Amino acid sequence: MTTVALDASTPATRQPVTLIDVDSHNIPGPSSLLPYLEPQWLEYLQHYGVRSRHEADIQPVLRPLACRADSVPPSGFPGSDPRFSQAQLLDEYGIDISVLNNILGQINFPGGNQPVPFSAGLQRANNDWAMYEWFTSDPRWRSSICVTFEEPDLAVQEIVRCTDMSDRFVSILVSTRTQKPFGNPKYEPLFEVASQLGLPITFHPGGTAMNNSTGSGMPSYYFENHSTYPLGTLTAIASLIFEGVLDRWPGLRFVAIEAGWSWAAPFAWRLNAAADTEVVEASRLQRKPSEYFADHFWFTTQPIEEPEDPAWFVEAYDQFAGLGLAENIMYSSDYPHWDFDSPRTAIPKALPDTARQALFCDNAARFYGFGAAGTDRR
Amino acid sequence: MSVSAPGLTEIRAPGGWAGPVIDVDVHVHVPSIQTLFPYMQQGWRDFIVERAVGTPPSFATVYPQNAGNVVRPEWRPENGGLAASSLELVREQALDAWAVERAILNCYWGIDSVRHPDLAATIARAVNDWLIDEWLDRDDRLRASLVVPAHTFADAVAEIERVGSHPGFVQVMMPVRAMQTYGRRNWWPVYDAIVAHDLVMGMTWGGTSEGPPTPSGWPSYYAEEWAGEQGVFMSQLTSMVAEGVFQRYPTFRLAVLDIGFNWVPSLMWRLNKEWKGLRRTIPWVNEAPSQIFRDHIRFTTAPLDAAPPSESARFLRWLGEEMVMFASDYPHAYPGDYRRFLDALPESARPKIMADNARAFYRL
Repeated sequence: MTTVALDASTPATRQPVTLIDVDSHNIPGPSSLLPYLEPQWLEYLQHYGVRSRHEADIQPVLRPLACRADSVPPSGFPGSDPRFSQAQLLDEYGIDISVLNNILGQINFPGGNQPVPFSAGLQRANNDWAMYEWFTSDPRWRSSICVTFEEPDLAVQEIVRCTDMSDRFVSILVSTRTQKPFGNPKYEPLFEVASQLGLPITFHPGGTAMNNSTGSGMPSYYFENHSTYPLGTLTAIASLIFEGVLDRWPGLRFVAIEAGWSWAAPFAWRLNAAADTEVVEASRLQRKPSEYFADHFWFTTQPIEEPEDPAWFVEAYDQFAGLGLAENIMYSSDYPHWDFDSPRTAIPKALPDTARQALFCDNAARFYGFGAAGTDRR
Repeated sequence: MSVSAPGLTEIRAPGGWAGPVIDVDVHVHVPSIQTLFPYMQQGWRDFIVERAVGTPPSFATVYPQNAGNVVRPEWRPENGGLAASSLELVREQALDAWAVERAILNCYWGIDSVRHPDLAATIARAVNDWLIDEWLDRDDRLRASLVVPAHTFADAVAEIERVGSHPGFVQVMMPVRAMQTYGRRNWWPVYDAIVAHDLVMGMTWGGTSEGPPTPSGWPSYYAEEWAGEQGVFMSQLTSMVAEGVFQRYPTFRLAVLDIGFNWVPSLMWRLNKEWKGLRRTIPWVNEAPSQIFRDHIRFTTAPLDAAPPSESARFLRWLGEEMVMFASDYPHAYPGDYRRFLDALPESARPKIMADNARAFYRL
């Protein structure tokens, strides 16, 4: 438990940049978005609420919204108070840049069962809340853009609006559970705008997408949902490769949050086996599946892999790096969630210093275009 | 007709593996629904003819018959018939080719996609009786999985009760895609029957769920669907661990087939980690998931995927030499060189992989 002093504020970005966190969460409280909703959608919200289908997982005990017990600010809602998060995350750990992924903005858009214009209005409000309350409170915050990803044309409008407002919107936020596997032609407008703007697309676990969360129905327990976060990413990677998306948009980059990374090498080899076997389908591709990984897929550290024998951590990292992915892994804290990874303790000390420097700073600086490692050009 | 199968038949070439071989996954196919007529009452034969019932639909959607992975070209019968559909073919191309001590037959025929409950039960009974008559009773080397009509739990139980004591059946085939995750308590009567008959649950590729096979809908390409099927296996193992199946059934044995093993260490690590953080939410899981895996679950060599042999050896070391059993996956066609794979393993692992692990697990 950290003690948070709300009156201590250190808004200046430290130079040089040494620590970048690519996944923290701002979570709008019940009234956070109200100032940013158009009157008709405010009225709608007050009458019907947000009815989007989201499985009501039983959360871990004493963990509101699956957040750390000590992350509840005086205002009562974890992740909703920029200055509290700044003090508890950025100041406490000396984090120079943190990328916010607004969980409710992501999971509350299922692609259906509420009016699409209402969903679009909520997403505009989520982004305006980041713009006017988070970016203004501390220069270290960046944010992914909340979009109606199942309505790609509307999403494109919002992406353009946000990037016109601020260059601190640094990626497009998408659920790992989409209505269709993410390489489906349905999502092409998103690939086009992401390519044009050079914005990465961030997969965060969750969402509902009108599909069950497993290929055999719904699970019973939070443990199951939480353990199978890599699943949606596996699906998306296979889809993006075999649909030819990466051949047609060679600049597209994706980052998988909370999905782990030790499965990437064996999965790349499984995809190669699929291509070796299904030559009729794979003949359409320009490269072997494993060869797409280094150019297109980035991974994050939280929850950090914990092999049964700690010595295997470096082995697993070397296997991952052997696939050309040493630059494709970035530190993430997942603040304020209960399974937060501290930058002080989460990454095994056995990892060589060069690899630690890469994942704590250099890789993310390069990936998001934060400038050369050690500077923040914004 | 040929038995050449690059990467597989070389196991027995000079200088190759000279010890015993137990092949835990030899697929056999029902030639046609008429093959099963002798094992049905006249009323069902009439039903099938009058309604033009054929091979259940998911047989072709799970294994499109001309897809690259379904049959090695040299194993397609010259007369144009269905591969792996007669004992003579299977003897020549598989059992004799790598000189098995025992082989376990798996007959995936898509019964999961038959929605008519009584027809599904009828077909399952017929397939099991056909397996006994045409295969198990004719070759001492053979053992088999019995099939069940899994959409109706009570009928699945009844079929296990009916034939589960036949000495040739060592396993119940449960395709990985099912209408509910396999940890759910609805399945427990089926597990009562499996355990009572001292059978193994064999989780295979394929099956029919009540939705698409991924959390994000239907894949477009077969290769994509095949690769991503790993995710369904991950969900099912997670479910069975989380719901306490292995605590409720201390002798439960689960064989995970058709999906290799390279991916398993990563899943075990994640489950262990999540269990440490969340065990209060599933307090009946009273030991680490990796221990549950080692006590109850085995995987197979097929497919090796396109991992370098040295990396497959590393995955096996992380997993444990006892955890993997040789499977040819005959007549399917996957890349993978078993000679190079065996050469990459420590000497102690080779007899375990090729026979000992299967002999112990299936009690052969």
